[in-house]
Amino acid sequence: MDRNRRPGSPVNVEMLREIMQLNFAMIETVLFLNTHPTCRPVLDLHNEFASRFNKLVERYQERYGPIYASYENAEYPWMWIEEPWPWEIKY
Amino acid sequence: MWEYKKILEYPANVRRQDPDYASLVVTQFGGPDGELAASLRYISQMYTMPIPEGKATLNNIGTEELAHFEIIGTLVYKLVEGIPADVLKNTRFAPHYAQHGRANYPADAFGNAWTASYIQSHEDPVASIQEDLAAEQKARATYEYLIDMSDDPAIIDTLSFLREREVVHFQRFGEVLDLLYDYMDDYEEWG
Repeated sequence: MDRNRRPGSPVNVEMLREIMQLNFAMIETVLFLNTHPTCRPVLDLHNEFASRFNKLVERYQERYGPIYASYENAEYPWMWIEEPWPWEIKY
Repeated sequence: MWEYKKILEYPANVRRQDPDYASLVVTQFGGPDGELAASLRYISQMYTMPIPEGKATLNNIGTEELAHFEIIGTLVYKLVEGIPADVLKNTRFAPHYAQHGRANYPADAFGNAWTASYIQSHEDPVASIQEDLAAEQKARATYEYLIDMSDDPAIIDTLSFLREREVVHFQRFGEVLDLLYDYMDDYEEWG
């Protein structure tokens, strides 16, 4: 295997932290909605967080590499294997 | 099924490396009140949970706990990464290094390997949710002990987030318990 092929993917920690914040906002609203399924204001909040999350992830994946292993327009060469992984990043 | 996102749920940094602390905080990786036990407890219980709010809550909290397992794994990894053996041998981390090197391993602060005996899963939903409420309190208390023993502001920040999540999960499980009692009243009346 050609080890020189792998430069490691660039990371934008600031943008990553924003993605993490929106991801957390989704986690929290999902948990709340599970026991309050008719709470319209929190449902609206969840939808807004999810929409912002998806847009930001799409932008991140275009510029810096995968958040998900599979997504449309994955680049050549296969980028999912690129370091750093989440535990290797200084936030 | 589960799908991985290449992010942590919350940042996990260490200001300075500390193998002694790694061997303490590891209990939230593989100890009795740790995140692995929490995750497997909830995603084992979810199948027979009778009410939809309960199934969803167990599924999502079980999933989040696995993300916490990764956060604690990150802290342990960063606390000992690259530290030479002749330094590690004079720390509390020496027994871990003897058996695993610097690889993460689900064990408690004494080195006992993770065991499914830490968790319970009952078809009786009240028994399971009461177990879950207790589990969240025990995890919260453990995070407080760990925070009390750290003077690293980065670690304290991450552990404080995880502690707060235990409080939120306790609240959500409490709501599931109330819904369960409503469900059981209805069942007795009409069932």
